[in-house]
Amino acid sequence: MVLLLQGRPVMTAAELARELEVSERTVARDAQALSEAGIPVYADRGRAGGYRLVAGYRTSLTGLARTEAEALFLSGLPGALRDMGLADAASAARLKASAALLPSLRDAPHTAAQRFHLDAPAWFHEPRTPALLPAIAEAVWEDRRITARYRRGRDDEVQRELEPYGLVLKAGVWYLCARVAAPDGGAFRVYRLDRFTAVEPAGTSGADEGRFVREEGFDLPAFWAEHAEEFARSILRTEVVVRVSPRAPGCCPASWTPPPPAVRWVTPPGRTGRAGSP
Amino acid sequence: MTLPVESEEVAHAQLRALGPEAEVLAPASLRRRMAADARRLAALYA
Repeated sequence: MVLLLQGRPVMTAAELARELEVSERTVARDAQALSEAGIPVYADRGRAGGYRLVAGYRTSLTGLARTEAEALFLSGLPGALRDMGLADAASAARLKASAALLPSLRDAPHTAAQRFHLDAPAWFHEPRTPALLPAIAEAVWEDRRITARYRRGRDDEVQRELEPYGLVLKAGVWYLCARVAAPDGGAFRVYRLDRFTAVEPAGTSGADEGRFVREEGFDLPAFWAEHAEEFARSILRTEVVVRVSPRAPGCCPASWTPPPPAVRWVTPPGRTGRAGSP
Repeated sequence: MTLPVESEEVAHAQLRALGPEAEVLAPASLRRRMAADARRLAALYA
């Protein structure tokens, strides 16, 4: 309640009840309790009435434990945020959260940054940020349809109207999970961002101003996990049988360890060796 | 052992990296390619 009231000058009991999903009676009781606990909550009676805090009152985020406060500042990946054009927003959010922390926790952001640093891309793979990433990220945030042109194969370029649902960054490569725009809902697909050659807002003249309604059941991490598994399975289309010397397992290509799901390492009958276990 | 691979082409590159530590038993076409590589390599260092 206090956090809500910090954000707005006055809120009616009905507004508070709706936001907090409690009854107005509970709001009244809690406001009374807060007031008794020394937090300057005032109830104004009358038509323009409602609950307000004394102007300028700010609470500390007393509920945060040190580890939680530190984790908060790990939540962003600096490089990824910069690529998406969100670096300024992220640093402003860090500043605000930092200012609201208890004095004893103010060093949490610094502590975390000096003890954990994520450098995701592999050695010798300088990731190139797709030029269209900020535009696509904006469309994802705002649920806006886009008309996208992308390269398929060597010379083939196609155009699609997409509902961009989410972005995934895997090993330095950005992917867009999107739904092909269709009257009754198209299929969900995954596109590599560096294959896009042009992106524009779509259908902005329509009644919905180019916005789409996300399917409620869509779960980005689950969708991606399923897609990744499917991809790993589909790419391994054939098999070879090899005999491997005991010295070899340590130098097997990375794609062989661990073996993809539904595929087991098999030692051919009649042959022995340590190579059977990955 | 049996390894799932993308294609014979990719498997060729991956297995070549293992040098003499891996012997391809099947498919026969890949085994022939590995054997040809081995002969050229042996000729280089003869």
